Amino acid sequence: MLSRVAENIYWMARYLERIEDTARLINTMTNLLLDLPSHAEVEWQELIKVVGAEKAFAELYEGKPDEHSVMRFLISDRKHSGSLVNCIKMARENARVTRDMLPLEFWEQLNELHIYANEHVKGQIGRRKRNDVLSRLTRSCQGLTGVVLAALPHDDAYQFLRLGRNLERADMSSRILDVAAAQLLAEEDEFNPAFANLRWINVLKSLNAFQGYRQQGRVGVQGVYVVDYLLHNEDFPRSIRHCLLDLEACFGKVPKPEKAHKQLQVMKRQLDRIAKKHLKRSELHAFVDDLQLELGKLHGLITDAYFSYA
Amino acid sequence: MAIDFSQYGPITGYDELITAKGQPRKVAKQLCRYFSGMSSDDVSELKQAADLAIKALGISFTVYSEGSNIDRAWPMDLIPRIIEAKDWERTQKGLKQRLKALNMFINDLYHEQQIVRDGVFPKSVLAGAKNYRKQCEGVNPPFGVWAHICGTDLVTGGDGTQYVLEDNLRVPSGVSYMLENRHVMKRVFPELFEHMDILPVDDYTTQLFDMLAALSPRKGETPEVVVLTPGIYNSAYFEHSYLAQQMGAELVQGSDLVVDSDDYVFMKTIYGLKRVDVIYRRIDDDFLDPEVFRKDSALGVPGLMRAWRSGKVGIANAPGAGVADDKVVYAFVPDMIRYYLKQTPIIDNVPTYLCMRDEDRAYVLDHLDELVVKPANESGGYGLLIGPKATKKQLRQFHKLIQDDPRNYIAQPTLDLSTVPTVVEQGEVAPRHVDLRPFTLQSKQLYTTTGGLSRVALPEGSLVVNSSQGGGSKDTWVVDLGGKH
Repeated sequence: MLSRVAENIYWMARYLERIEDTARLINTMTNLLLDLPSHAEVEWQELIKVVGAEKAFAELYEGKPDEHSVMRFLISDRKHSGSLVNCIKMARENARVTRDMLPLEFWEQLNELHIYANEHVKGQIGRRKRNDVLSRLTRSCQGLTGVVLAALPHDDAYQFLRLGRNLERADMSSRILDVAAAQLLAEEDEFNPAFANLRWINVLKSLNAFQGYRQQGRVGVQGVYVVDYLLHNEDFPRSIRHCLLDLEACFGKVPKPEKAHKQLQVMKRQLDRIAKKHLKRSELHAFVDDLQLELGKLHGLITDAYFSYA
Repeated sequence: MAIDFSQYGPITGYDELITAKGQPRKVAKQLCRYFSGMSSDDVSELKQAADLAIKALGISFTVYSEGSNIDRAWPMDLIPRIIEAKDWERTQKGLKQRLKALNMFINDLYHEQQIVRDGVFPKSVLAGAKNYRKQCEGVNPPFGVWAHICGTDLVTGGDGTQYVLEDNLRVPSGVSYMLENRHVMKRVFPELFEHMDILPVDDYTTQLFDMLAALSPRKGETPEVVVLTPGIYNSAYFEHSYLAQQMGAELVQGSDLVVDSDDYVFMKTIYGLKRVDVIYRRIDDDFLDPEVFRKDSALGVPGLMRAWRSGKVGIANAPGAGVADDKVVYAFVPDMIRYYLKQTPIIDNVPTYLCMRDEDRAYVLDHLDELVVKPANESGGYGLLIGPKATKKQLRQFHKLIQDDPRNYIAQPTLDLSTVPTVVEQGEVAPRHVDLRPFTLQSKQLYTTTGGLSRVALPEGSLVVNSSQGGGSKDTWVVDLGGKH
């Protein structure tokens, strides 16, 4: 497979994962807002922190981030390269040049998503409509994953899709976990336990993990268990461990995997070292910082090994 | 109301399917009988089915409009253009004869220039040939062939005579639409294909691959053939991707290729660098190699000319082949056939006035409003003057253009192009003008498509068939009447 094509597929998968994750995150955040008592404030800038775009936001908007500005920035602002509408555009651009490598339905559905986004994802979107629009985006991404699952042979194209998806997913999961923990682990005692509980449910939901968590026999929604589940559970597709295992499996199928395998060993060891109980906020934060760094390194290794020829 | 071919018309010149008396020609009898049984509602319904199939198959072409590129569904008319097999046999011979002579001409130009020395081809024409590439002098491509793929535009005049209108030797496109039109027609009219002896067209991509493979410098090994495209914004990107897929070749862009210091060409894959043997390039000479041609080209591959000159990669069409894709050079093709092959041209040229000749120019300037004037090196129907339809201002403008640069203009009488019944509004059927673009291949052997791409000018009376300018297309059937009836 051509390097350029592999790179396009890899990036397309990253964009699609980012769209799905961001859309879900915003929706759960909005839901949480509805459940909180009126004096509890929702920190909208948390969302900006999650996606790591504080600087970009400050360049485009003045004043304290509020619901209006944050939503616009994350969803429909064409000036923000990481907005959903731009991610959709980029996913489509990447798919356009590789459309003959992917199932025909994949291209058609992605094209439909793009047309939908151009028509509906613009300007300020009211809260009621926002939920519909974002759910639609999430569903579209899931539909695309479905086409890949049902129709794409497990060849090189599939592996690069999977690499992009898992890398982006590990990145997003760890960011959400980090920001949630910043508020929750440290201050759990001071909070009204009911709110803490609500917030942790929210964290699970924003990673589509609530059902899985419940079904896998957890007693209650408690911070330490939630964090443990999202870090270590091998079966839940968005846990950090699962992402790393899936990446490892991918590298078993592509050429020249040696460096990436080594890198993944490093990352798995870091994950193993994280305490399962009595995890401190600062430890988790340090871990997520490291993980982000190591994911960046892994991305660099992928780029060097497959995409770039110096 | 049923389709009634006796009411069909008005036929202004020669109609390919219907005689002046409103009778179907022999090749078209079965088709006309089939359509006569239908109402215009039936026809509309079939048309919708065909349009749907085109959409579902994703057959599109790209147009640049209002500042952005749009993928448009390919316009195909329901009613095929039909040619009798024995007529086609003659045409095929004529096309092969022409390409053979053209290739001998190009090879001669880049070597001894014997034809110029012998006074058959004027030196002054050569001097003004924009697509002559000095960098190609002395190169010996395999089999002495430079133009491996030629799309020849054929037209039929009012008396039914067939002429060559143009030889497209640079990067001719359209063949994928020829193949896809057939694909759609078989879906829509399975019963006609069952009962008529319509010759198949499907073998083109295998023939193309074999032709390309024969250019490989590594004999005895499976050659790595790639299709080089300028990218998704090119209007023919669909075709590039289609042909690559059909041949099982990689579709590459300039940035995917690299030439090493030993002049070998490689493509960048996830497995590492992989040697490339043959490049079917779909980008113009100008952009091919920034080391040699346009320095600002981001589409090309630095060093490609080195690799080609030293015989380490095959390129189709060869750089420099476009020298014969010039409307002034075109006028000399019949002479080339006589000169190189010692044969009489099987298909004639359209009578052509060369504005560089004083006598011709005087005639052209006097009769501008009757003639079609064409610049020597444009394609896609751009830069034309259609005399009878031009405004006074346009006539004045061309008067000056011709006088300023006579070498760059030719003129031809306005041909009354032949017509074929075509579905127009509300399922009605009316005559529309057509041309025909068959494709001829040459490397080790010569091959011509069975039929070709028929292009049709959709507005009533229009002669412009280019898809970029609102033209449509038709499936082309070569029918063998000698077989079953």
